[in-house]
Amino acid sequence: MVIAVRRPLALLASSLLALAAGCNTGFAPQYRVTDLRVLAVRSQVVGMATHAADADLGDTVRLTALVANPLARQPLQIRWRACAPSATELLSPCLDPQWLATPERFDTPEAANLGVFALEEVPGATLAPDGTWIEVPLTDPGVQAIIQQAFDQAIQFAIDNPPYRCTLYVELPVVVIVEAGGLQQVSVKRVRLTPKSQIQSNQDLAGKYILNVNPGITGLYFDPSDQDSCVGGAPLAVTCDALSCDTAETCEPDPQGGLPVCAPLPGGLDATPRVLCGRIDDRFTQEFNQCSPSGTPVAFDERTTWQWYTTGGSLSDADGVGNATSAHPKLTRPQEAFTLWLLLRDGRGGEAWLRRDFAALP
Amino acid sequence: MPSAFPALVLLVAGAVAAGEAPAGVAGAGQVSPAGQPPPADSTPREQASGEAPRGTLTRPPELESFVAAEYPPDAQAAGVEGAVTLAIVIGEDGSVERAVVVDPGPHPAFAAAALHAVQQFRFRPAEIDGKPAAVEIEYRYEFVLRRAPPAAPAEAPVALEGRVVERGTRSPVSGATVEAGGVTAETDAAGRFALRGLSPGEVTVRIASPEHERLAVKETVEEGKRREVEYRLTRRHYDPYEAVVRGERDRREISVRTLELEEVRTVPGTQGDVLKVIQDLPGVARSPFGIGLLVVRGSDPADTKVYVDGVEIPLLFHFGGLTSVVSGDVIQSLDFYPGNFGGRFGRAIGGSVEIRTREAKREVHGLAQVDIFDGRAQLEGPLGDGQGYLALRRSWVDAVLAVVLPRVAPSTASELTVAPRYYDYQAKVGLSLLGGTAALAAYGSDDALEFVRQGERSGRPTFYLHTLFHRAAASWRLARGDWTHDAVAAFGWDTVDVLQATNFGVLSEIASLTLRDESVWRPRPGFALALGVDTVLRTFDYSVYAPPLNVVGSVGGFFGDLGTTVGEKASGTWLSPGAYLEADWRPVPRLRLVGGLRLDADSRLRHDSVWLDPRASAFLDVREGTTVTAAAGLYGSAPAPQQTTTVFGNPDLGPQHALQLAVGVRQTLPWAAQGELTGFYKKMWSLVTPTRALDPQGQSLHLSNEGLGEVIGLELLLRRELSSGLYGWIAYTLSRAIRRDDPTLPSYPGWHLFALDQTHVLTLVLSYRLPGDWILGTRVRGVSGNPYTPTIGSVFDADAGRFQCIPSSHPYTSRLPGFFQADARVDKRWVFERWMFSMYLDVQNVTNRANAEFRFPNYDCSQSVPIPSVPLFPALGLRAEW
Repeated sequence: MVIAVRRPLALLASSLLALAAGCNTGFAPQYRVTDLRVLAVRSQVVGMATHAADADLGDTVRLTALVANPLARQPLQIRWRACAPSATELLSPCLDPQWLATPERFDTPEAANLGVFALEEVPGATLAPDGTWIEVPLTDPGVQAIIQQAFDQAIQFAIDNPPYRCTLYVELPVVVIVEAGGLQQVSVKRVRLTPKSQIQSNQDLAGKYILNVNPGITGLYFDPSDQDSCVGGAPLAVTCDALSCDTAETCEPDPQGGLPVCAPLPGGLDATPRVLCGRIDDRFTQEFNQCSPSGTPVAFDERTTWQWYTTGGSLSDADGVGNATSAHPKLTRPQEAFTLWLLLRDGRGGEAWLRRDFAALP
Repeated sequence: MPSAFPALVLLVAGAVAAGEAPAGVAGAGQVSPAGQPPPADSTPREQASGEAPRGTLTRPPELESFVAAEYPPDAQAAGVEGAVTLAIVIGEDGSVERAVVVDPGPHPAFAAAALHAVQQFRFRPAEIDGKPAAVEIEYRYEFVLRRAPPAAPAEAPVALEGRVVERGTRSPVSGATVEAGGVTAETDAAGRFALRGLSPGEVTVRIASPEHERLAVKETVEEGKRREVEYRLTRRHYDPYEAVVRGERDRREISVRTLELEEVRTVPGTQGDVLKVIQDLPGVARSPFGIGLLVVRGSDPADTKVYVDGVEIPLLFHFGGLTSVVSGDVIQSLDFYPGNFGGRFGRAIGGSVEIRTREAKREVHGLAQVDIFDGRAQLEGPLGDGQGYLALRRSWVDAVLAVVLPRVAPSTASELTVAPRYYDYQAKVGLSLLGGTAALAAYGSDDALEFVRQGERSGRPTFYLHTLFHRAAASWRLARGDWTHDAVAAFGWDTVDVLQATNFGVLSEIASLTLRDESVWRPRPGFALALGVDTVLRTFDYSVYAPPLNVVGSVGGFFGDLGTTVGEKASGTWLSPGAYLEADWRPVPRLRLVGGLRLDADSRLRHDSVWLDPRASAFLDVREGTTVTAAAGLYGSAPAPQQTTTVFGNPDLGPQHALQLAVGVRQTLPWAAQGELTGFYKKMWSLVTPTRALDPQGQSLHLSNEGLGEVIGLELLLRRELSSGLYGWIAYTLSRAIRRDDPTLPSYPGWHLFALDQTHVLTLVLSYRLPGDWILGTRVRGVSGNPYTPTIGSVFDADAGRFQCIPSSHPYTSRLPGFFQADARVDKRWVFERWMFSMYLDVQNVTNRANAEFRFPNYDCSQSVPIPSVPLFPALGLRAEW
């Protein structure tokens, strides 16, 4: 008798697959961005200094898509679609691969009947001029009614099922459809909505689900003296969310929604391959709880992961599909100008990124 | 004086002495026969009629009336010697019902002379469970040109006495003829002999045994002195492994494939693992990467059960296919039922595999073996009033990987610490008890695997898997008059521990008590009634935690939020009682009908917890050597325990069911070959399948009983048995296996191919024994590629930071290229006076062909490349036995 042995075997198979993926397939690596691509989608509550990622009714949530468009394809068009939680459909169109394969279906009456709606049409929503971000207030009575119903179900389920008391949130799946110059990219983000006030008032639930905040990055460095902890080394970009810039510097926001950095930027990179690393802003790293079968919370550190993208050059320590996730890859830069993105994910839906443009070598 | 020297090789189990043939009865003194006892490694064979006697051979046939063959004058004049091999069916009355020449020998007149003589033989009939029964034996009639020695005076004093043993194994050679100075004697069961009345002086002692090389030794006989000697004969063909005899057992099924260990030990590509050979038989799909999945007639691997001495074991192979959990050195026989099995097996809708362990020898023996995967040791011998053995095996894959991995995959080696290891053991003691035979057995297996990723901060292994099982069984068999009785009681202990950092964990402990009991009543020939119970009581204690499961097919993969964990802890007891009644009736000599009912229940199930499965099969001998068969039956199985968990499964699942139909024909062919053609159809319903349905609380059901399946196919087996140098088989399966998913999935209501559907599976296995104890072998396989689901696009999962392929809503509509692989093997044994040493080299994929096992996509699924199967892979094994 084997309990759930298929799943561990599936995990083992995945590991073996990953080993197999280590073979040289000749594919272009994932980290190299050569054309239109969505690299990340972040959810953050507007007006909170803590980078709060989980939104409640009444909050306004800003969704930001990190869209790389190295070929400057035009015109760039971004549509935001969301799927209302359903009590009868387990798999919403926003998470159904068959729907996502034909995104034009999201604007059909069939989709509307299944609870698909355009975030741009939510009363009070604000869309960025280039569409890369949208602010959605969760104040509309119609929207609140739908979400509140989902909250009530989630709370009742957590009360009935203690293991779920540490995961008390509702996911609002959002589809980001990016089109430019005849190319289309589809991305899915699960936005966490949490009934904060209702949780706090319930003694069985209070304190068990730790509200998530987006992580932070204090800077991008190369040649660190301690690669694992990214200590030492020379800066390539220092965020001004965490540090005060020098008096001669200004804190410049990133038009792509990344963390603002002190400007002017430090010197660039020469042709020498360099080990890069990102430094985590400890103010935004959290512990979170996992509930035992009896509902007892057990605290764990967030499992943060890095992800690197570049429009040129090469990164070491990439996996079989070229997804560079090492904490300290070695970059061999190209001769020409290029852009480097550094992403940090906290494993709970939170993310942050940092962008650095490099000029061509003389 | 020429002589024909017949050797009887018994094909039915048991160490017996055949009746002595009268000596020197042939005209003109041309024939000087000597009946020979069957050697301990004789080969079993089912009866040509397709029906094997039930039960255990309690008395072998004994030759009572020998008729000497005439030495063909032409052969005598030409000085030709040689042997004729015949297959003889001995009836219940002891007469020779049928004799077929298997090997005509080196002179064209030998076969007719031997056949004519053998057809006049008269035997004391064999007995199965104490009752006369028909058996088939292999008989070798050897024509030897030599002078028949005159009989020695019985009163003369013993001048030379001693023992004849086999080189290497030190087993006594019984029935050997010892001749010196015109005096002959025959060795007894202990290999002892005594020569009387030898004249003083130097004499040449000649020892002859049908299974051994002849030996001639000069001895000096002194007046009035008794000389004690020991002679060691070299066996003509040493099987590279210990040859084991098994008794024919019930064959109530029309499709049972029995593996004779002597044949399958040396099948290339298996590293000597007899259980892997199942995958080379008809009805079994090729397993990806050569792992041990048993995909039988289009059924899921979990639908085929494996039993050891009647007790189910949870796994057949270490790490899913590396090597089997039961050492081949303790296996007596292996029966593989691809379908339509009888009532004594239940809780499975696919096939069944029954492993029977052998009895220990009464002499002290031991062995040690090392190969690329593991090392093993075994010791056996007398134990009190009985006999017993103990076999142990431990892998060193961890040590091998530590050396090999940094060389072949340095990046992986630096990233991971991999420490897989396994061990297993088998012990058995046989003894007489309460008028019957009893056995105490213990066996078990322990696998552990650990991946530790560098930089893992959780303090736990990145992945840890530990599976363990133990079984302790007591069995008792009694035959009294018309009744035989088999009982088995076994205690089992299974644990599975799986950890994956902080995200995943399974801890389970299962204690089980298995009770099997079968009583068979045979009031008259041609009719038997079997009544049996097959019950398992389990107590379980498990906890499982994992990220919540995503809806099947959802973006995000199998698990949901990897940063959150849900879990379940449960303990309890469940009972799986089973009982069956089966009648075996031969209304006319050429027709045999087997029909029965099996009742199963499972207390875990909340509904449909009891089910009744009728099963029937028929055998019609349409003419000599040709049997037509047909079978039909219902089969049911409870869902796997992990499928009924509250959090990750569906506790409301019910049993799965299947209807299995088969028709076939078996044909005895010349040259010790047999052919078997079987057509089968299987319909499966209530299959456990993923669902997107919700329960009344709006939560995912995860699984439902809405799956359907159908399989239709044709199997062909042409097999030459191990009676001469060349043996092997050709297996071909033509089949189509399809499934229909749960109505909530996009593929519904369409049907799609089963994930391991393989239209054509062709396997050729050949081995050839060469002089000098060499065996060469090859296995060639040609198999249709596995189906796969094409990708129609991709979506970027922003939470995971990677693309996810979007599969077509029509699953398994594409197929990988065909699989072709040739394996080769060479075995060599060196025989020394008191021990033997052997080695093998087993090379998989000798052509190093890159066979695609699956397609691996690039990061956004816009491209894919085939990932090849096992490359050229040599494996070396060394073995010493004494």
